[in-house]
Amino acid sequence: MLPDTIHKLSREERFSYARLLAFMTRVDNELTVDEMAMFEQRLGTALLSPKQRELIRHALKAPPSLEECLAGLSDEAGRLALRDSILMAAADGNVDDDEKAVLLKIIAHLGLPEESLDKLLKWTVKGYNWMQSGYDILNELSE
Amino acid sequence: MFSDLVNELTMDERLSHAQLMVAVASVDGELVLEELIMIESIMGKSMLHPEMRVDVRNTLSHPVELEKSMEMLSRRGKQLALRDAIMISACDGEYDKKEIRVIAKIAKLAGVEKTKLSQLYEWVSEYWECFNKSSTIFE
Repeated sequence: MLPDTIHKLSREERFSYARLLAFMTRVDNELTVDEMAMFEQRLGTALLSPKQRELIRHALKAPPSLEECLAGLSDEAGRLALRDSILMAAADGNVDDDEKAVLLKIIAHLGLPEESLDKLLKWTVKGYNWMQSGYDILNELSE
Repeated sequence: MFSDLVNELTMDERLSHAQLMVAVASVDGELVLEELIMIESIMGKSMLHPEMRVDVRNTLSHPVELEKSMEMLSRRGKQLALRDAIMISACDGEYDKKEIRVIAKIAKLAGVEKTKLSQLYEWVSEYWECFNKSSTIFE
C-alpha cells in the first residue's frame, strides 16, 4: 500500500539504485542540505544493510562512473532510480544543464523516450506544489 | 518523499519526532514493513545522527510515551508530527481505530482544530494519488 516500490526490489538492485542517487548528488558539484535530506530519505526507504550504507556513503565522496551505476539496474529499478534522480536534482529548486544531461543519459540507457524527462519533471513540480500546500495548512494553524 | 522542513527542527526535536512516529506506528499492535520503511525514511529526511537512529530503532518494541515525545516538540514540531502521524498511519492501507484516536490526541496536544485535521487527512490522500501517478508515467 505504501506508494512506493523500492522495498520490493532485490537488495542488490536497491544498492544500485542508491549508488545512482549518490552519483546524482555530485553532478553539479554542490551538495545542498535539501539534496542531502532527500538522499537520506531515499536511502531510508531502500532499507539497505549497514554495510551497504557505508559503501553508499563512501560513494558520496568518490562516486563511481555513471556507467558503473547503471550496470546493476534492472528495468524497474532503473525507472525508479530515474524518477528519484529527478527528485534529487530538483531538491535544490533547480535542475541545471549538467543534471539534465545526466538524466537524459539515464533515459537513453533505459531505452525510454526523451519526453520521459519532461513528464517526470512536471510530476516533480506537482509533488513539490503538493508539499507546499501541506505547509500552507500548517502555516494557517500558526496564524 | 518530497522536500521537507523536518530537518529545520532542532536535533532533539527531530529525535522526538522520530520516536513519536514509532509510538504512532505501534499503536495498532504491530509494526508492518511499510511502517518501518516510513520510519527509516523519516529518520533519513530528518538527517538524524546514526547513533540516534539506533536509539529510535531500539524503541521499536518499547515505544517512548507519546506525551513525552510531544512535550519535547515546539509548536511547529507538533504540527509536523501531526502531519507525519497521519502519513505513517495511512501507509499500511487503512486507518485503524486506535490510529485515528492517537492522531486526534496529537491534534489536541498540538492545538489543531477538527476542520484543519480533516484538511491534513485530505492532503495525505492527495499524496497517495500524486505518488501513484509516477508509476503510470512510463506506461
